[in-house]
Amino acid sequence: MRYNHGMLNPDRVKKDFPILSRVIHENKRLVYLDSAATSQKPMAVLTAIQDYYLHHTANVHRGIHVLGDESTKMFYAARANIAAFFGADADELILMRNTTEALNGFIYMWAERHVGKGDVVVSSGMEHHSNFVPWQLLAKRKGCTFEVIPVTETGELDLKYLQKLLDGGKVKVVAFVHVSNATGTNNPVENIVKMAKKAGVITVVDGAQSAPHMPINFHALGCDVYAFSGHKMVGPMGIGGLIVRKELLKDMEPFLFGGGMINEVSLEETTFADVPDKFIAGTPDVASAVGLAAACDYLTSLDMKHVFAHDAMLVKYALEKLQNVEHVTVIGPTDASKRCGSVAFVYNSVHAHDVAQILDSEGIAVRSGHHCTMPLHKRFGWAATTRASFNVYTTKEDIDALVLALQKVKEVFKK
Amino acid sequence: MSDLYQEVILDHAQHPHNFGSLEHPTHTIKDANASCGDMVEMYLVVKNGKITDVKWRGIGCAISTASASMVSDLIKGKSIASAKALTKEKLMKEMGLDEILPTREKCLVLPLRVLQHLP
Repeated sequence: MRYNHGMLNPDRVKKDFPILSRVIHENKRLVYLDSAATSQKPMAVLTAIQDYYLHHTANVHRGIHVLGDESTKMFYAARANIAAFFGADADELILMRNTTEALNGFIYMWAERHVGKGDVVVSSGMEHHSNFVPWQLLAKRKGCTFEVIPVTETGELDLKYLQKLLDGGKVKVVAFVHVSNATGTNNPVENIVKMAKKAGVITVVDGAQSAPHMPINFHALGCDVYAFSGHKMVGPMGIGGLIVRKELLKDMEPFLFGGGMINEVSLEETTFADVPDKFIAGTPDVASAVGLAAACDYLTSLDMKHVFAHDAMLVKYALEKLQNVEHVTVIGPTDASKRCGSVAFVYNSVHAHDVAQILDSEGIAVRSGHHCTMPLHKRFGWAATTRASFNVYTTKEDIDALVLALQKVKEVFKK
Repeated sequence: MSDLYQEVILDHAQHPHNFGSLEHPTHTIKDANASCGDMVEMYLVVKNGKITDVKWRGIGCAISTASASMVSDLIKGKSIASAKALTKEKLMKEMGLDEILPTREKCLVLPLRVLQHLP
């Protein structure tokens, strides 16, 4: 059966990702539904990285020679390109390894100095561990209070609870996920930012799962901090970013010291380079920055509005299909318009690892486990869940293949 | 179909042996794979150094469940030392497995890790 996929042409897009033509287990077409863990990379990204290493390899900032100039230019152009993709100014983007490092880095660079006894830091019950654990530990270190926005029965953040916390007048920062990697909930960032701003509270948004799927305009979104991973948005592994509102950057101090981030060093004292270079110590991953810029160009060529529409169509389709599979219970919001990127489910009395293993034998790659969201899984009493997640190359046919393969689970476990 | 789900494994997974608890165990030992959501708790009666009775409870995938079921059979009547000496290779042989994928090995060996909590 052929489907109309709207604005994206899935046949053309799939061809851009050579890995997707792999055949596995002898004769199975690879159906990659684990893009929330990491996305596949298009040829344009792979070529950009190879081109950098083949023709332009040199350290940045210092080599006064042709390669040094080219490499430095390429690094700054990549940074500007990536920042523009997110609607941020180039000097608001601090390139880091991934979302986890960006969130932890922000805590060291800002929270360590601006949060103390008597303050309240807020995270949520649907966070990935990387936007939960660092705040929990900060609170222990600083002797401040760690509060958690509860998750409602329908898999949404309880914003009334957040309002009560904000009304208490002690909250310093609210850290929350834009799109949940487990329930797929697309949280109302603008609303939460508005609530926080009224209370004069800093907002930190984990954008790991939103950046790949929707147009992001950092300034329009209004949050103070937005963290993302390149490898989930068809870019290379090992590069991501921390975007920080310009005014807030002034309140931050570097936490890694060494090459590239200094202005002047004497025996007695050190002064730092300008923002954002002072936050990046050591040789940066130039090739990955170039690769991520190529990924941004690739996504822009597809048009992020169309990428978002494509994802919305897949989520709606997967939700409908999976809700009708015997023994399957979908987790998270049942309203497709409140979701993004993935659909996870529980298979009655079969452990998620067994489900994933059997799906794999049919060529289908999914993620199983708690997806680094243990507080969320405990809240709902799920031992583990199975997640199908999407990206620009995902098609309705892929979801059909998943639904068909779920029949095998039933056969093996004789349901 | 995946070679992992051998008849013997499915049989143990769906009808685990010695599943339940004991009124007066001399030893209660437990371990978990937090990252998978697998947990196994074993209840043993040890008399004169021999394991005379064993029951277990747990939650987990077919592999960890089948493994716990088989382990509970294998250690009954054995000494604590020989229970602790039970190997992954012996268990795989019992299960009819020639190999175990790196991602599933921790499911298989969880009951063996539980036994290491014996004195």
